[in-house]
Amino acid sequence: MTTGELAVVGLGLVAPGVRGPEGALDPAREAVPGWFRPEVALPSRGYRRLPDACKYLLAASRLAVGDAGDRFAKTERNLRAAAVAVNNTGAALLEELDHIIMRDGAEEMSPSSSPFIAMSSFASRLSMEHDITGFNLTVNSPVTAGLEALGTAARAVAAGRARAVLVCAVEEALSPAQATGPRSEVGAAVLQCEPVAGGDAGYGTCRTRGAFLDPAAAARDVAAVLGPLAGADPPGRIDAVLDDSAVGTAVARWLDGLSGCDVVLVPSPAQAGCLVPLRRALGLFAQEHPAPTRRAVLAASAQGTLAWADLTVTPRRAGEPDARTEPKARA
Amino acid sequence: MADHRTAGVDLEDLRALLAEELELPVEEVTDEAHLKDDLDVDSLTAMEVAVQIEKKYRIKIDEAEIPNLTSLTAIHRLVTAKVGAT
Repeated sequence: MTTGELAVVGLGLVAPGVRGPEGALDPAREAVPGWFRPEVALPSRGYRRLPDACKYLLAASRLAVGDAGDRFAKTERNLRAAAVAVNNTGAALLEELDHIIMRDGAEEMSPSSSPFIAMSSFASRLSMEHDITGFNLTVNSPVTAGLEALGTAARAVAAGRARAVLVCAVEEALSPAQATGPRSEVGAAVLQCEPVAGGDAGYGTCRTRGAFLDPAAAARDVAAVLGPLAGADPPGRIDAVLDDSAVGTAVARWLDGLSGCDVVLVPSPAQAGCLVPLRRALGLFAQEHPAPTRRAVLAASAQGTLAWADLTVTPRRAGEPDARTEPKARA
Repeated sequence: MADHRTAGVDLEDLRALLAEELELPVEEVTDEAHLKDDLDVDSLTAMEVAVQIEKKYRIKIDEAEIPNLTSLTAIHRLVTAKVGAT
């Protein structure tokens, strides 16, 4: 299914070892203790007891909204919205809260962190932060949720339900008891998106599409499913976030057969979150080009969900005065 | 300053607890400062304050009593009564 088109006007990224959107395409770094400094990213009162993942989300949203100027605050509050992708985001917190309940009783749970038993609380807290009353929606799925959040935003904008949407993905590391691999996704990526018509697509525009590839018949069906998803004229570069499942393997083989485009394979672990694909889109929008440049991000989960984002990156050159390219204080 | 010890509840200890929970300098938590109107305390933070008071003083504060936690003086009065009753 194809959604409408969105203009991307602001970017915000909080991730270990990354100073901003310009580093979004770098390999993910280990989340060493102290990598995130909430006292810098969120210097005022009221954040201390929030789960760390919520702090990443709020910090990245502040960067995106600040990056776009004061456009978000100038949008009527009932036309402000948020689409927040989460997957492993609350897993470690739920385990911790379970332990508190079993060890000390439910009355020992912190009133500030216990609402986050509901994964929609991340989007709710974000809405409080930015006085969003249009809508907020939480999208849960491995790998593809970030790009699906872009699609949700595009449909809402096309329907006139919103004129400024924060499209977000946030993840937190799994606990040692939960993780089966060496590294989990950590951090948050936020894109401020608006209608293309009348908007200022400072970073570019995007369209998203989704499909399903049956894992049991992935090798057989991949061409029939991916052909329409990629379209007749694929862009010059496709960043593909894939794991080694039957679906990921079939998609990788199909991409091998594409001519005329560079495919950047981004390995996705078995317990993937949903941050990496949206982070790739953010990183591609942050790149500088002398002319409009088409890019795509493809995400595939072992369960068979596929998401495709077509990006057209607005021309920007290094050294050109542009507030959006100025480095900002980041955690 | 008047005697700040009443039935084992030290006003300055309570002030320090509030300042810590509200992320404010101790001097801003005056005896009569209104938590909501003067110190911008929302309902969630008030609940967090109540939980921390319960832990420190080993008392129970009913949910219906939380709206009465309007100032340091009011909190001190409530905690003192509960500590004295235990």
